[in-house]
Amino acid sequence: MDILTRGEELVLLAVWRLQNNAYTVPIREQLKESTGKNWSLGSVYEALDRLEKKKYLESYLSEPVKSRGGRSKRIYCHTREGLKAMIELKNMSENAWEGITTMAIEKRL
Amino acid sequence: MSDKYRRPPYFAEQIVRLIYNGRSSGTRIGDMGELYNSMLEDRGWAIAWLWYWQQTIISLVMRISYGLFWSLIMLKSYMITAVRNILKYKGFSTVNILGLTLAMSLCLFAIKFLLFFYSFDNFHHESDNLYIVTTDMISSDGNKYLNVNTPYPLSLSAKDNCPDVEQFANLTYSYSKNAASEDKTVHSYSVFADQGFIDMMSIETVEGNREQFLTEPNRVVITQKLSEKLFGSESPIGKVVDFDRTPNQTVTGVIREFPHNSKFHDFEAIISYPTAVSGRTPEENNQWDTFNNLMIIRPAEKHNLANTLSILNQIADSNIRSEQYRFHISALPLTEFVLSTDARGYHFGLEIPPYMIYTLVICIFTILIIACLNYINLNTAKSLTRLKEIGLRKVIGARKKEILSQFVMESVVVTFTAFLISIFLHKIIIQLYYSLHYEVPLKFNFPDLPGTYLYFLVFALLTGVLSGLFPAVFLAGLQPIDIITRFSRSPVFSRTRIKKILIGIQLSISFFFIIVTISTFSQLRYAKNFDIGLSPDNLLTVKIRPELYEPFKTVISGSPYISEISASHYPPGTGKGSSNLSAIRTGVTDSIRLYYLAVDENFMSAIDLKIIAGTGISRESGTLSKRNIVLNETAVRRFGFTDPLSAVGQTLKLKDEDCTIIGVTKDFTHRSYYDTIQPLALRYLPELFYYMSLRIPREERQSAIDFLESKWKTVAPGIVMDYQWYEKMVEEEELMAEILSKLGSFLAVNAIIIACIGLLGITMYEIEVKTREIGIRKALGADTSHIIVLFSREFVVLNSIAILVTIPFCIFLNDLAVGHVTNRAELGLIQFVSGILFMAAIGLISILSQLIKAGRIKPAEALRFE
Repeated sequence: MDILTRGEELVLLAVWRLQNNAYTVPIREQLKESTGKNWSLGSVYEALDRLEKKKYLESYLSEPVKSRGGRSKRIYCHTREGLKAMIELKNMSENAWEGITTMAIEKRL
Repeated sequence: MSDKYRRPPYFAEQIVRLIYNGRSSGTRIGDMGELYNSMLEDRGWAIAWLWYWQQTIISLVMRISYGLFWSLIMLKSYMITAVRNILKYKGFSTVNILGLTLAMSLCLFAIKFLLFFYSFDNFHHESDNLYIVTTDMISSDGNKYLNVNTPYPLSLSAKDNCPDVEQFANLTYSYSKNAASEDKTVHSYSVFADQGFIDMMSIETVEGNREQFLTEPNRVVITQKLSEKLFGSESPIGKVVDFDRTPNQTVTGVIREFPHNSKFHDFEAIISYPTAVSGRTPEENNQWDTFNNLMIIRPAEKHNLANTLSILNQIADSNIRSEQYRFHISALPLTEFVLSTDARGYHFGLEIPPYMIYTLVICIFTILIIACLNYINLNTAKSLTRLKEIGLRKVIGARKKEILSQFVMESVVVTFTAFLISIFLHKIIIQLYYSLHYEVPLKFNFPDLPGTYLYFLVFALLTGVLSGLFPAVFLAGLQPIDIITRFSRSPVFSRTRIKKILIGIQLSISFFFIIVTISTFSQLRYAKNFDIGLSPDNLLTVKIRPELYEPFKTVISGSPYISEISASHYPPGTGKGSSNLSAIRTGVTDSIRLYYLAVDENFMSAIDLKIIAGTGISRESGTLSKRNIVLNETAVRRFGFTDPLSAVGQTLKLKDEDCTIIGVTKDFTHRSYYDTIQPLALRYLPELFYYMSLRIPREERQSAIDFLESKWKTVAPGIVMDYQWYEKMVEEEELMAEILSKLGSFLAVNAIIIACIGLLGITMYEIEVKTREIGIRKALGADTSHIIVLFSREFVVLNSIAILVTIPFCIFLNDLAVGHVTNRAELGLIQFVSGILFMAAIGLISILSQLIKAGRIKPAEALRFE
């Protein structure tokens, strides 16, 4: 697995959480919620494009939506590779954080 | 949420479409539109509109920066591979870079040289709209002479009669050589000019009221440099400067020096024109047949000269009377003045014949082209050894584009390195150029314009891409399977055949260039040894007036410092003098334009003219009369005499006088080094003795000048003695020719070096490729001499073919290049033979050095090579 950037990692998780409604607008909302920061659409697109290029995500088009000016949504979901990557990611960060508690860190503060 | 969809800002939407060009653009416009609509409902249209634009711009910036980031990473990887490859073949790369660097440095120098001459006087206001009014002289036999001067009265009538001209400037020579303040005398170049000249020239004022600089007589404007020389740090305004011919001039202003790229660069003092006018008699001021005024005009409407010229021509036609010439007024752009070496009249500043510039630039760019060809050729040959690498890359999955990029990148790295080095190296070349002649740094200055480098960088990179592209396209197109199978078997694509063709091309290029160089050398030697036919050594010329000739001669004769006293109208070979008249050999020829030079009985021996028939003018033989003339060889031919001897004793009709030819001299340069020799007669005309030439031994120079000055005061009180060493005057006249011939030799040496680099490169490659073969041969018992003979044989064959193919090219191009030059060395057998010998020597040396190196290789090592 390629090392992902933090942004790519978060997008991957957001897509998982949103399940069948994973298109850009709610993904951005999800990212705002989990990071507390305002994400620009551009940065979401860059991350999505790279994940798609790495074949971790694939996408399909929804029916045209009237409130979008008659345009479709591009809905993203994980590929097999993407799912494997998520397992690896989870293991990686759990391994990395193993034995470190918030309390221990706060003590040093 | 209302169902109505509002369209976001159209222009921003189009930008989004452009950014995500392709598959996803529709959905992305949809996303942005959806958010825009919800924003519109919550926060109002202004915020929504701003938000939309903000998102668009952020997206754009992100797309660009991410794209750049990834392509930079790719670029970096290409770069690393390129550098590795260059370092891997150190010798080969050094040869390549060396050749390119040398050529590029010369090119940079050529660009600066060219820009220097094409920037002459281009810094004035509306500089492209400044014209010198010329009075061209058309002789009765149809020859047209450019004469940059006009008669003084014409400048007065022009001012009154030409409504289309906005500005006039007039200049004339001052004859003064020195400027003196109360306590100091310095050598300085001064001219007379009117206020119009100051107004026209964009030269910064340092001190004084510019509007009033030269409006009254006895005013002078000096340059900052002269001001420092004469007055130190004090302000010179209001102080008095004495010039030799016009003492008592009040300084009204100080200006900056004219820059190097100006015809007026030498000007240090500009005396007001009214001073010159008031110093002349009214008759002198109304002479229409004296051309002593340089007039510059600026038409009110750009380049609109037609009306003005026709008015001036009318005035000239009704006033200028001459039997010898018709006169035609026309205009010469001021910026082209520097190129007008054939112009007659008042000359100053640097001048260069245009053909010399062209030749120089062609030479240097040819060197660059040769270096590029060297480079392409060597690279193509070398890439044949990289076939395996390419095959492997392709098998692993490299696409054509990637291999192409790799090769182009390598070439760009090489050319860029060469470019960086040449930025330093060309400065050394400029320093070398400055040191060619002590006058060069005074006359030239090549400014460091950043634009020059920028253009050249683009040019260099283009060279890199183009010369890398050829081998790259060839190699990237190969299929891995072809490399292994068909490529090595098919006779058309056979490696050895391609290689042989490439080596042949390389040899031809080198040979061609060696021949060009040798012929340039012989051309230059010819020009250098071109005998001007007179010897000006140890002669001091003193400017006199004809009536001073006898008295001055009387007071200085018998002095121990002066061994010979002679007089003439002008010193030949210094660019001065063009007096001529029409002459007829009755019954044989029509009127022929015959130049004449007034000389006394000693002048011919003073400048060491060779008399080839008859005698010179002498007091003893009673030939001291203007009826006795001595012709030069050209005149003898033009008047139809079969040989010099038969001309002696014949008569010619000069204007209305019958003159006897008493002798014939060898041809000598009577006007200028650049002119072809014209028919000339030497006559005894004491009323035209304007120069005395005195022979003074080298060691006595200073005491002789002191002595002469003390005597001069007794015959011509109030006038400063104006003298100059004759050899120096000739040297000045030939300066540019000498500088350029030295530059030419320098280029020739460089060309040979580059040609040899190519030759060396191809041999190096050849031996490198055959290292293993040599190893096998040695292992099987061949000794070094066998191997040398074996490999040399192939080179000899290729060499011979290359030489045979190239010779016709050389002859053809030589005719094209120097066919029109009158004084030229022919391209003959000697040049070719020496070229072939040179080629053979260089070839053998490089082959031998490489082969000996290869021969020393231990067989086991050689077999392990690659």
